[in-house]
Amino acid sequence: MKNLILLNGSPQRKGSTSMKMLDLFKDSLDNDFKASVIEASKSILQKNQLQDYEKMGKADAIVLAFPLYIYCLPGVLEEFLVGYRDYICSAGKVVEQKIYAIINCGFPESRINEDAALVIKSFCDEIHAKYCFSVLIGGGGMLQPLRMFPSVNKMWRKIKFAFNQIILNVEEERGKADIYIDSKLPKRLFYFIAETNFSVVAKKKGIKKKELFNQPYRDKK
Amino acid sequence: MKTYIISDGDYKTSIYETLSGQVDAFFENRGFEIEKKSIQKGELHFCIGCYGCWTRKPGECVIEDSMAQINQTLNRSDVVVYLSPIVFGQYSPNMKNAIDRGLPNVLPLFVKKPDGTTGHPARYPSKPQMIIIGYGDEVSKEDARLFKNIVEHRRDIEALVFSGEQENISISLDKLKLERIKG
Repeated sequence: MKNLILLNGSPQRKGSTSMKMLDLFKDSLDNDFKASVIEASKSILQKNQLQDYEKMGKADAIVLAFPLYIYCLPGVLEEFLVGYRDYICSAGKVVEQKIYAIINCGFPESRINEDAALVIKSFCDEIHAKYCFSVLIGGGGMLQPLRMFPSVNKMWRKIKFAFNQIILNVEEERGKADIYIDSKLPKRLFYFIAETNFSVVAKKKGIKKKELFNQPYRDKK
Repeated sequence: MKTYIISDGDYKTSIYETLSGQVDAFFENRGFEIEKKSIQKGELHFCIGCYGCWTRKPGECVIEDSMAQINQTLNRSDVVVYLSPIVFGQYSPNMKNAIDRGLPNVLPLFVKKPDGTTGHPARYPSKPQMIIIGYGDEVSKEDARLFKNIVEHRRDIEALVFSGEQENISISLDKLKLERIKG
């Protein structure tokens, strides 16, 4: 039986796309796998890192899911991984585990996630773990609310296929190329839906449309 | 003219001291007023992805800590210099928290960039020239390249890497435009 850690790197408290991804991944596993979920932000806030690092150190593979923040890892996930690197290195441990990443960004283009995948590879090099491959997903924020759209539904099927590739690869020797899943919504429609969503959310909080453009720190000089 | 220099209080290594000294001297010699901010571990909460800076209090982070002061000073400076350790080819955690929480400085609009990818436009009609200098004692070529690529995804931000105490960062800084730019 393979022991997997599913690491949620989303800083959001609940309802994150990354957590949904890991739920879907977990549902795809059969009885040959035992999977436990660790949430990086909870681990840090509740000061559980040491226990979580111990669990991670014993895993055959780690599947990391996170949102892209300003073209790389969110600060909280970076902090969590630095802690794991220090834990592994200070104890002189050797981890021969495999590492996979599932990265989603709020923009339609999945290739924007490429550098974040390289960050994960660099992290693996430092702890001598085996970086296998990443699943790079565009339009992450649209996946849940628009899943009834045929093009978004098709993305979910591709994501499920990509997760099966990870599951198969855990048993294999070689890594493989990263998998790209773009949002297929027309860009103008994508932008319109995203911008409207922010306006609607703001309106519910009593913010008028023109206030979205406030400039609180503009130098009055 | 004012320069705001932001650094990581967790990584005050000897290479940092060399770099910091060179950056200070560079701006002092050009008559800039310098304000410095060293971010300590635990000082800034991480961005929680709530988008409150777009939908609840547009232009301001809703988490109450020293980030409000950082964003205010940053927006009123002519040049902002981040001195960031390079960790796994990206920013250190403290610096990344500060960078993630710069989200209030862009608008909740989506635009196509010249390279065909999507981005958000700036909130203000003009913004400081941003320079991000990554440093480290044993930065691999791959990590240095990755760091520059990550920084340069963002429009109008200059990325430099300082990896040796024998280097002189002034030569690179001298080639840059050191004034506010169009937003």
